[in-house]
Amino acid sequence: MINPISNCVTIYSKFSLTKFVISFITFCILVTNVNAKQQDIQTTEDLEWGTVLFDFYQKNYLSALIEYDYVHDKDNSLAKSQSGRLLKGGMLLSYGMADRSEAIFESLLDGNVDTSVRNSAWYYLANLYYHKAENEKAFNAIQKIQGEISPQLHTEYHYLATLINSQGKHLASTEKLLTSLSPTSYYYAYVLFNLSIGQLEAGETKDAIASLNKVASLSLSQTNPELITLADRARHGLAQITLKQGNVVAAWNYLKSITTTGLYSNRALLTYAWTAIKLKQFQQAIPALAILDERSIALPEVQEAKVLLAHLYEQEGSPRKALKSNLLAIDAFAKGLEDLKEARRIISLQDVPKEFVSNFGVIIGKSDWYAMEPTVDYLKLTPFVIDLVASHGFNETLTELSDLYTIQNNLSEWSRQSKEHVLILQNAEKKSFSKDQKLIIEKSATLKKKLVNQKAELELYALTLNEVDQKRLSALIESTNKELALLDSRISQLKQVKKPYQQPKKYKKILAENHKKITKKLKATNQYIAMLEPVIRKLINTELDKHENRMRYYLAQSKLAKARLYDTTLMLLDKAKKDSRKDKTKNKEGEK
Amino acid sequence: MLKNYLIASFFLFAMNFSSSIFAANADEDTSQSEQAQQEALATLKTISKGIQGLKDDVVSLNKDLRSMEETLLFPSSTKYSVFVSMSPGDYFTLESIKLKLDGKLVATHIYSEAQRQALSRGGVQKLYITNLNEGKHTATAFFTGLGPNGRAYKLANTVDFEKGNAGEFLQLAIRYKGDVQEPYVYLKQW
Repeated sequence: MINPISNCVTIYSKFSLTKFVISFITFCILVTNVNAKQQDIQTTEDLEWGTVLFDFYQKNYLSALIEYDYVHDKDNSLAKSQSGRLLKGGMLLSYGMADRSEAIFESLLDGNVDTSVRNSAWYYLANLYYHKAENEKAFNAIQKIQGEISPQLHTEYHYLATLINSQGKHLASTEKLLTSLSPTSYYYAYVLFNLSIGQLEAGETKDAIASLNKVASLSLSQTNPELITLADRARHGLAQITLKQGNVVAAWNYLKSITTTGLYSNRALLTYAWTAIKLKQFQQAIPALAILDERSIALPEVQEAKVLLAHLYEQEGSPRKALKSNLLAIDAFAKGLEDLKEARRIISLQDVPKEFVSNFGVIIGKSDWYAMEPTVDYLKLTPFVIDLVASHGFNETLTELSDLYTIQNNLSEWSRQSKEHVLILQNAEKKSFSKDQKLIIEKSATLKKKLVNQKAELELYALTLNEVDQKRLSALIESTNKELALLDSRISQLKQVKKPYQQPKKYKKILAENHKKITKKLKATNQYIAMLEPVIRKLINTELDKHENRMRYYLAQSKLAKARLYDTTLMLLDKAKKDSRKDKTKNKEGEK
Repeated sequence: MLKNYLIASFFLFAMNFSSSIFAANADEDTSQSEQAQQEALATLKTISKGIQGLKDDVVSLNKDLRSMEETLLFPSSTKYSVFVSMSPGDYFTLESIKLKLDGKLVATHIYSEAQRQALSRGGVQKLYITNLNEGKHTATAFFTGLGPNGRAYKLANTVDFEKGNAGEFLQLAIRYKGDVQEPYVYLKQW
């Protein structure tokens, strides 16, 4: 029996995916608001600041931070403003530089800042502490938000406040906050769900059931798949609670309402089948198990369902169906074990962690640190690592490794370019005006004179033509005028140049220093990668071990069942033979 | 009836028995998995500060390298940067851009959805950096995309300008005409 509380906590932790997304959306909305004036570009500073936003909005945090530092170095007032620093803090947070971002938020709060910036900084600090599991600090930070909160931040603030209150067991505050949220709000269902988990943990089971029921009923008027899945989770949680209370019928009713195709359907279908068995309604369990039987063998629920289905057929008195189910299950488990073997072989290859992480962007939504965790697309992911991907340790390691690979690529690219930089400087030192080049400039001047004369002749000739033909030629003359003006401008500029441009000598030293830094940082990056790659491999292999042990166990179960069914059949045949012999003997004796 | 009950009881016993054996194995697996997770988090905790420091250094180094490269390739007297921006609104789905400087095609770009979104939210794309000498020049920008009702649009505009002896900027912007929300290209020399 799965502990309803731990189960719901698991649900809750998986929920944090959405929670993080919401936090991130908040940040984007806020920044959009802060930079509303960016829509109307008034100065070159606006243009340069816009390039930071361009990368930021695409979630290219490394590029955005580089761009930020670049424009900041150019004394861009927007970058140095309070809202600019707030944006930098947020980007650092998203790029996994929590310590630096914390320092920025704190320095903003130390100064004399606008109420909206102050409240935003407290909000992000609270968010940061919450995700670092520093609940007391998070609670204190959220309490500091005072005065008017910007409309964009209002709902999100309430959402974070409820999460923090739930963590700190401030359930009364959460309930109070909940009343200020509209039931039509996107966050309402999540706040309610998190509240129910808090109530469950606090032992307030009755209230938790009421809250979960509300979550389940919210989906009825919704077409949003996210809310429908949330409602399924709530129903499953309700079923587990009622099962623990011994109320199998109520659990059965909750389970009947869960969709059979959603993300949560596997666990629900299996629980449904077990509950049916407990209610001795064996025929009801079979369709649920049959649905699971069609799904991927990598899912633990499917593995259990295969064995359970064969058992049910056997107990139903259908040995042929049972035998067939067992034989199919044996094949499926064997195939699953083969797949596992292949997965192990692949993960042991040299560049696999890098490829896995590189392709992770396709598998999941773009990931970042505290602001948003990966939004897993389960359809694209190998089922063997579904649970692993939802785990905290794997996510954190993968995020760091992904960032390190990006840095590795970035520095390798600079390393390649460093050779070009040296070449540019070397060539620049050799540059000088040759006689040929001077001759070309002189020739250009002569050519220009010739063209001017030809143009004058053309204009004179045009005057002799009728009006229609003159109009036709006017466009040509106009474009020739433009070309001549451009040529004239170039020639006069070239004449003014005494010698070719040569870079200052100090550049050579700066280049050498920067290139040394590239090599040093690349070495450090490679060392960190070498430390984290084995961690990822170990996590995946441990997960695969878990799958293998489970499948081997179920395979053995199916083989035992198969042997038992064969034995029973042979015994029946033997018995039938003996009975037949006895009958024959009796018949012969009767004839005698 | 009794037979059915006995079968059910036996079955439940058998399943519960096997489930309990499996539960022991599953617990062992789960604890191994949790241990691996804890080890991963411990490793991360150990190196977290180092990685954060590395990231900080890399951002700073990239900024320095970029400044250095620009200084090398584009001296401030001849530097000429071209930016792309868009006014907010869903009236034009930008697909591609072409830029001609003095009649030569110098830059093209095809936009992804993420880039389009970033532009319409106020981001500015640095499309092209080059060296231009002092004097008269011409820039022409061609935009393609979809207007309202999915109508294909090709927009273009040209600007003549005189480059001075300092770095300059050109802004290529998509704007919308008042009430009709018709997209047009606006070029501004900064």
